Amino acid sequence: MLRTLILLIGAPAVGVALGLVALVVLVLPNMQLGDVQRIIELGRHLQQDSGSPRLVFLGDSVLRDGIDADLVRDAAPRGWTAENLGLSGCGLNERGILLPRLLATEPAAVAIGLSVNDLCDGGAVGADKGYAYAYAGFVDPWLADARLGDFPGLTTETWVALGSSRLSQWFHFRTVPANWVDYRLRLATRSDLRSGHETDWIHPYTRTGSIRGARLDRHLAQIRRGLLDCGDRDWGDARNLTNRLAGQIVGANARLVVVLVPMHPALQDDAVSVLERLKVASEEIATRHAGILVDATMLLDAEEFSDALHPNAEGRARFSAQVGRALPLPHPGTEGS
Amino acid sequence: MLFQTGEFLIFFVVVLLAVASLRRRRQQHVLLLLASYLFYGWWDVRFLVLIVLSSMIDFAAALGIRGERLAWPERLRMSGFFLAFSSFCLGIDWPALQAGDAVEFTSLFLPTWPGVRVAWLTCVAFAIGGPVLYELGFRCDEQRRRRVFVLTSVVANLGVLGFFKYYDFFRDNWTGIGQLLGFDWAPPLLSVALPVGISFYTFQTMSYTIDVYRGQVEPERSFLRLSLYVAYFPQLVAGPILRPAQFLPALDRVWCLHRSAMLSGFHLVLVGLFKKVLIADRVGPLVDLIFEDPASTPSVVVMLGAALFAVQIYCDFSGYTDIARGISRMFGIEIPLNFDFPYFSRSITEFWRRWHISLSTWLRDYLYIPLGGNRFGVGRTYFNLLATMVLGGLWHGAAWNFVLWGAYQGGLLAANRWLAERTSGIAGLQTWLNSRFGQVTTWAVTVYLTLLGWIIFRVTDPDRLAAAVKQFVVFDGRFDVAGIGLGNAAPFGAVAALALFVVLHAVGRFRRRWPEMLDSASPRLLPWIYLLLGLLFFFLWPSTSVPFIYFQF
Repeated sequence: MLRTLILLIGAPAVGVALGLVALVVLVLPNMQLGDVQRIIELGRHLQQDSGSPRLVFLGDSVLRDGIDADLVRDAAPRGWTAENLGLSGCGLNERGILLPRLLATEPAAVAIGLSVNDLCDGGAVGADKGYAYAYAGFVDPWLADARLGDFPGLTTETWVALGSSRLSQWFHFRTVPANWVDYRLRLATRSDLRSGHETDWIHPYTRTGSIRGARLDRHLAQIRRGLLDCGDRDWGDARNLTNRLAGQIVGANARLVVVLVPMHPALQDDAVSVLERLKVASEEIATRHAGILVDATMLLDAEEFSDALHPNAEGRARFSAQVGRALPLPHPGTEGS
Repeated sequence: MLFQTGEFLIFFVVVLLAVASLRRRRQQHVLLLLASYLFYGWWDVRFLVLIVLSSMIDFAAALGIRGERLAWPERLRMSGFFLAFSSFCLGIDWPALQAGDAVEFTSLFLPTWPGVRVAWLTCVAFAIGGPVLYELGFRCDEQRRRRVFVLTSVVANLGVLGFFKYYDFFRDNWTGIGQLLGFDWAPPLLSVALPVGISFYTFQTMSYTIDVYRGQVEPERSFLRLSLYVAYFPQLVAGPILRPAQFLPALDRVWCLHRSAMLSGFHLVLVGLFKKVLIADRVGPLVDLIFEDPASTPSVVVMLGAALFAVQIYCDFSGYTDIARGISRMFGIEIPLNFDFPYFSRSITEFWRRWHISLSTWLRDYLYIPLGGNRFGVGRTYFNLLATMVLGGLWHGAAWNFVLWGAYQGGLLAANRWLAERTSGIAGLQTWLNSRFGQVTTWAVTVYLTLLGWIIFRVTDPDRLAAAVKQFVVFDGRFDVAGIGLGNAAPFGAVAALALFVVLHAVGRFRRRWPEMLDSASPRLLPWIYLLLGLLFFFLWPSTSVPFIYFQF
């Protein structure tokens, strides 16, 4: 009977152990982690020494698709270099997670992309991302002194992921091969999506085409529902969190740039009051931290969007240029010279 | 404690070895009962009181039906046990402890969750009043006594089920109707928490007293054995619903570990886990996303969603049943089959003979037949079918979509019966129905109707349900599926899981059931199969454990 029990528990356990070894030795070093790959790559990227003065953009996919760092550099006063570190779904909490590690690389300025969505619901970070941030070493500088309450809206599950051990992270990422296959198939079957953006810090956009007609209408309707929902919410937590992030940026001797990202014209009529709230809150934050406010909410025409949210190539060019033009001279001492 | 978690694996191995180490039947039953209470209490200790309450009422009622009076000392002993047990479950702040909150020792007792006083006072009232009321039952003549006791059992069980599962539902509807009619009064909103598995064990215990009333089984003289029948952990929270004759005789012998039962049970567990974690949990996220906004989703995707949900609910529920059967087989208790390839049915009537067999036979034996079955004419038969299925739908959950689903299934069963009666004499049609083409056609129609039913079952919001049904029934000819926002739900993995299910299911249907194939595999091959499955589970087991769908019922 003992032999039977050993067989029933031991044989699958050997399979699991072999899987773990294969994962650590073969899979993780060679296979991309799907949507969270950019987080891992960002961890590697921040280990490299880069030239300064450097302006880094932090934000979600609207900023990631909307900013071409080269175009910003070209439009800005001479001397700036720029990087777009935008990540899909990167809300305020997520920026709070990665900011300490980023600030340790001493950027000259940090541009935070803000939208209505950020200030009404910036809390959600999936557990998957939590493991990725832990895996890429983003939490090491601050986790010991932090508590869950510092990140309003963050779930316990994500908090556990952020503090996870290397073994837990391996176990979590054991589904990498399956996710990778899905991710690759998705890219292969979508002609309007671009691969390779995970390691691109200059123009990391993912959308190469623009949707129109019924598909755009559906997307607009979905975003409109979200905007209307935002109007009923209390933005207090998110505003405090933004202020805290701004304080961290300024405290690290970096210049704060608050960028209000473009909104699709078809949504603006429904968003008058929330846009007003966003502008008031952003001005207050920028003023308090001696930052620069770039308001691009009304900048783009409908044709300059690839869908209801993200700028396309034309929109990216205009948006990047406007942000670049709003920047001061890179060295504070040379301003006005 | 979910079957597919590490904590359950540890729990199970410890319980299995501990029970196996005992040599006396009674000791084994005590340990299995304690393990079952621990298993159930892992969700919420407070609801254990309901299980013990139900066991006590049915134990005493069944003996009362048979005219066997419990002596006063025995009654008082049971009352004392119940009082102590309910005080243990309700008097300690288990919710805070289970949530991992830091609770001071002094505030650990006399918790303050809403309703604690009412719950405890009800238990005290039952402990004091129960023995007295029991005595009153014996003042009646035999026929009345039998009725009084069976009614007491049915009313108590349905009362508990009704309160915990349906109070808020009926209260909300009452309030809505009241507002329409212009009167303001509404019962208080209690936000009653639903005890996991209450529908299953309530039906199971009711079948015990009803079977005793009908003279089909002898009343159980051991409260321990009856409690184990009610709370047996492998099938406690999601069935199958066992009849007393299927369970109690297995307790007559001393159990010991058997290699063949261990292997065969393990194979059932493996197949169940495969269905649950590699198929159901993999397609679930895509189903959720598709039915989030069906109005703007192309028909072809809604159809895919219905097919995926059909696979999800089958693999989730039959996977749970396989695991329950496998675990129970290792303990020497055979649980009957609950699913018999329902998606190969060629009529809705056949579907209900193959789907959730323990519930459909329960509804047939304890509801449809007592209502009159097909004994009182055609109209009454159709009414009985409809009423049975509507109540069966409501059994699943306190929501209108379940009522609608039940009515839909009842309507289909009635239509099926009507068609069968009308066409049974047409020789040509019968020949065609038995031809290969006829079989495929009736199968396809049954699948289509079943999928439509699953949409009603799955989508609770009325607007979204209407939109989903419209998209499913009226094909919109749209195939622009790219970019409709399904990318985050791993759509290719879900479709691959669907395809894998179709292949494996067909092999199981037309060759042999997968657990049986594993049973007959060469002993030399088995370690490699287990190793391979371990490897497969490692790479494909979802990162977060998803509760079984039927736990909510």
